[in-house]
Amino acid sequence: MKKITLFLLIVLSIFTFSLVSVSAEALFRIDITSKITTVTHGVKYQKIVGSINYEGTVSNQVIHYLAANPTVDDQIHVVVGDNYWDYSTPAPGGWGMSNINIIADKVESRYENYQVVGGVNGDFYDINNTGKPTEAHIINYDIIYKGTTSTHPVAGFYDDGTTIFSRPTFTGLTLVVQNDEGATKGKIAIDRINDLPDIDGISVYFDNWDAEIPDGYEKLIVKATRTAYDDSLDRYFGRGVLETRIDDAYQVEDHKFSVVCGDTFDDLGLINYGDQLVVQQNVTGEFANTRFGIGVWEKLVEFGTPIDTWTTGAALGSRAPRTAIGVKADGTVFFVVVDGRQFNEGMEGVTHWELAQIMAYFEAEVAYNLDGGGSSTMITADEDDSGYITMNSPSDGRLRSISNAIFFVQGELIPKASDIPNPDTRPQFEPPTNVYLDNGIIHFDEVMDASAYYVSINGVEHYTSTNSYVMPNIRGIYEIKVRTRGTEAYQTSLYSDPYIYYQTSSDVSDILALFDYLAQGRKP
Amino acid sequence: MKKIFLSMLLLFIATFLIACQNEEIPGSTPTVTINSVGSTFESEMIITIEAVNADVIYFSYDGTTFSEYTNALLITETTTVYAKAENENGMSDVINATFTKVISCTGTLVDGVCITGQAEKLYLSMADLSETDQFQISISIDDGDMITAANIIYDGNLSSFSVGSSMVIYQDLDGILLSYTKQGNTFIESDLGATTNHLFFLNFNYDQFTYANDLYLLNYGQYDTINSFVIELIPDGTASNFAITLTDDVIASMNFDIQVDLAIYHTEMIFSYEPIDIVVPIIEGGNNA
Repeated sequence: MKKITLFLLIVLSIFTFSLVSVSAEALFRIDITSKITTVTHGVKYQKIVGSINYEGTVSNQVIHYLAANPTVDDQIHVVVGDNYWDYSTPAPGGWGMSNINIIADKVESRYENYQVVGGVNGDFYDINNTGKPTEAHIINYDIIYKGTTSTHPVAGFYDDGTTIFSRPTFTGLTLVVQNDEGATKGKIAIDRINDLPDIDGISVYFDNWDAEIPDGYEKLIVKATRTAYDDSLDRYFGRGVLETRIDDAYQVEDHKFSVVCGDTFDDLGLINYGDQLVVQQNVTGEFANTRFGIGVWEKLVEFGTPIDTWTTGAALGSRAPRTAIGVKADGTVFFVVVDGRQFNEGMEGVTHWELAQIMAYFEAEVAYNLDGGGSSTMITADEDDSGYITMNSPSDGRLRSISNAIFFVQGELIPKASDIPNPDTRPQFEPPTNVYLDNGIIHFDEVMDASAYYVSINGVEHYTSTNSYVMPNIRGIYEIKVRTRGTEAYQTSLYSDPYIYYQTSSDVSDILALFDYLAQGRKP
Repeated sequence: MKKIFLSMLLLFIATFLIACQNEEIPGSTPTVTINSVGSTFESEMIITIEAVNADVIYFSYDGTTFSEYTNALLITETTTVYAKAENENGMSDVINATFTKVISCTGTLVDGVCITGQAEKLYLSMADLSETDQFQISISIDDGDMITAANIIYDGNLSSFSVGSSMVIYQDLDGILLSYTKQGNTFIESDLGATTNHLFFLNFNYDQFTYANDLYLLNYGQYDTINSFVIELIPDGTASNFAITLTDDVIASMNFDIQVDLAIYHTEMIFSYEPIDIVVPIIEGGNNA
């Protein structure tokens, strides 16, 4: 958990029987007993303690609100997180459940450029078995899962901070070919999973297929970094690096998958060693460029007006803890968690109708219901960076293991790598020159027309949009190389000459200084 | 006949002169001579002094303070002997003769001491190092988890220090030390003031070491040289286990530990003598431009 230092505003105000809000229809109001507001890294948290009155029914409530506007703050983004297993073993299909704090940590480990500021639980899920989500799950453009019900919308989050709620259009399994930077070189439709391809097509075998793929077919063996699937042959996901090509009979090893080519299939030079191959559902339309996506359920607010016309849904009329996501007209995204099932503590929980009223109270233009009950959780990062604070009072009395979650994160957005034409006739950028390290910061000269660079530290690449990068303060010997990130007009450059750097302890630094002093000596 | 006469005359003259030497000649001052078997010796030499027509003979070892000569002199070191004699007519001239002690040494004579074997090798290798203007030292510092490597190059009035890709060049320009710190493709020049001498390894003497198991171990009680260097930048540091190795009669390495608090850092300096020319960067507006 990285450090979050800035509390911009803390406001504590206590009201006694103050009438604060009355909905447009005058059927709903909130009587606030106390309200606490904090703003951290541009994310506003508010806790309201009081009672609500919906059409004459009064109930005691504790309401938690977390909001930010990623359309105006380029350092705030909405990220969907999970802690699914990387492979199908040991969890069936590769799914899993974890509490929201672990999921938040996973977000920070996946994206070094992001720090979690706060978040809430996400989609409904298979709580009794695998933990797989109910609806689509999109992580950093990877379509991990298309969902099972196909009846609920998906919240999609774009790089520009805007949010969409809609049904994605999935057009079938596709092999996405990417270079080592994740730039898409091309896509090839997949005929089928765990079966032989058409004569001019491809199929993909995963490691859950326990028989040999016959010889006579070219097979691209891919070392997987992640797989996920269920019992449907069109709900498979795999990502990995092309390891080798063989024609012999082959049984897929654990943590690998194999792309099998039909007799007349020709990739036209598209697939090369070192490429990343992604098996996923192809998505078109509005969701083609959403970086993250998560399933949502009932619509609560539309055009700023609470909805009250449901006939089916998640225990619509029951008072329960609830979680919801809303978007305001100005692009502000906000989450609400209402505590429940703790009557004696003034946390009765709300019905769907009341939740919709609350989302409208917070000026949602559109809002949707998320998983609730014991799953309803809201966290924020601890101000001293020691972890996360659970802001609400989960009804299980502890953090429940959930499938996925939605977070506000702070940090620099790494733009999606530009697609690569095939054949690639773009000229290549020059590598950055003048690489050196001073006071823990790597510097290099800018390259004309470049917008970003990759800094490789002992083979691990880091993105930077400037001509500098802060060196991790960890003892070790480092080989630092820099390359210029490609654009639509230029290919990514080769690496610069390596720069070798020793990050030493203070004692060793002193000893090095001693020998530096020796080098300054002259004979008498 | 003339030849016979001439021979007779010469014999007479010679006989007269000899007679005159051995007999006091009334009215003349004495003459003195210093006698020995030669002018060099290995361990000791007996010197005698003789005088003609003398009442008293004097000798001196410094030409200033004279004592009466009564017995032969015994010398064991290289010595200059002065002598004079006296009678009633006066004092003779002061004469002197130097007798040089010659030491038979199959090794190397150092301040009158003949050193041989491993001590001689160490002495000669130290002497070679002190006369060498171009050499390198590859340094490694082992903290138990990680080995940090550095390199020093000496090239006359130039030197350099590098760790990984970082490097600084030093130039002694008329007693002023300039540094050129590498930053990418450029160098930053700085004036470090007067050049100083702190090549600690040139201050060792061969007799501070004991040879054992191919190592020259710095004797206990001889750590002032290295410790005074260490504490210049590491006040809490102390050196121990200092050892020198030779290869082909030149100094190959110096190894020692530096202890800082409870931590011990094994430090190795590997010497090599392939000349490497350091090129001083030309900096616009700099001292070297």
